[in-house]
Amino acid sequence: MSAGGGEGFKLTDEFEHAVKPLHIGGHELSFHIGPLDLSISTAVIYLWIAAILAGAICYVIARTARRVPSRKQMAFEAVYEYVRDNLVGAVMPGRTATAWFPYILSLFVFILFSNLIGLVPFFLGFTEGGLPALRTYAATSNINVTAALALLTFILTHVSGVRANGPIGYFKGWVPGSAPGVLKPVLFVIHFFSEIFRLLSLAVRLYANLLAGHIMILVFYALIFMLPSITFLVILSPLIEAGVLAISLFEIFVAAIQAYIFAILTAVYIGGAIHQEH
Amino acid sequence: MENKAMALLAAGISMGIGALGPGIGIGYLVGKSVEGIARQPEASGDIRTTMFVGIGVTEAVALYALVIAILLIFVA
Repeated sequence: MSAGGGEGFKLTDEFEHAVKPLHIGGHELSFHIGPLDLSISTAVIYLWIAAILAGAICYVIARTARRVPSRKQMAFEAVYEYVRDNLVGAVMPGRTATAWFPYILSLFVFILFSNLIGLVPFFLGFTEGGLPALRTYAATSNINVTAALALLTFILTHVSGVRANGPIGYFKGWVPGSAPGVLKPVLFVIHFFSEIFRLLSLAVRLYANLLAGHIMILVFYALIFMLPSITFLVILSPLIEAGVLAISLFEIFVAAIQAYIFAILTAVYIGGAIHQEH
Repeated sequence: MENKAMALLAAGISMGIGALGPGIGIGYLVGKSVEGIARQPEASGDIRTTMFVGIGVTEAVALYALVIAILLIFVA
């Protein structure tokens, strides 16, 4: 969000800047290896911040753990226990849960951190009018990031399914054994498409939720610039600010819920692939 | 200009219709959860968690419509 934009305020610019390479000291940080675009954009910086922050905080909490826990340690232990018992433990049986718990917990913490960092405005220098320019951006409100995370879940689901049941057993398990023989190919194709749509919906759900939240906040702020006169501005802008506050509080809730949903769906999909129902 | 107008109209309609289904769905979901909690208050924790997951999954349908609407507005 850049404040003081006035006439030049355009909603699309607020989201397109994020995937463009950054400029530092006249150098464009764009790197290409063959067809791969490894440019350092705002989204990449936010991913790094989320990963480093999540890793560092968890590492410090784990290193300084005491028998009599401090408040911070208790909060992290609550998250740890909740994910172990109610998230992974509830949808996967014993040994599978132990094996997959670290991955699911890291996924949960990483998505939670990148969602929450998206609500913190960052200072980006001054506009021409001399006002501070603040911007909020969440790495998870970028379809590329969520698609990569969803693709990881997708690949892990099928690889672990094949490893646990063997390739023939796994793909046989896609079709219920009680189905009549003629219907089996049809059911197989239907299941194939449902797997593809799982991947798509996993990616789009997280991305669209975060994007919708940021757009809501932006639209409310943009209302201020649309007010016709100074009288309206004085009367209505506190109301608009209150609206922004309410939406921001709701977004904190959405950030946690979406991280939880991504983690639990990953657990359900992987658990379902390993322990197939026949 | 004609195309842009149609795209804007389509964006509005898609968002409106797209919000109908999830609205009904979430209404049912929360209503049934409240019934469940009223009958079995001791299970309220589990019911609430499941309800939130259900809401998140259902709400996503409206957000697919939102993505289509955004595409129609800014890309079409």
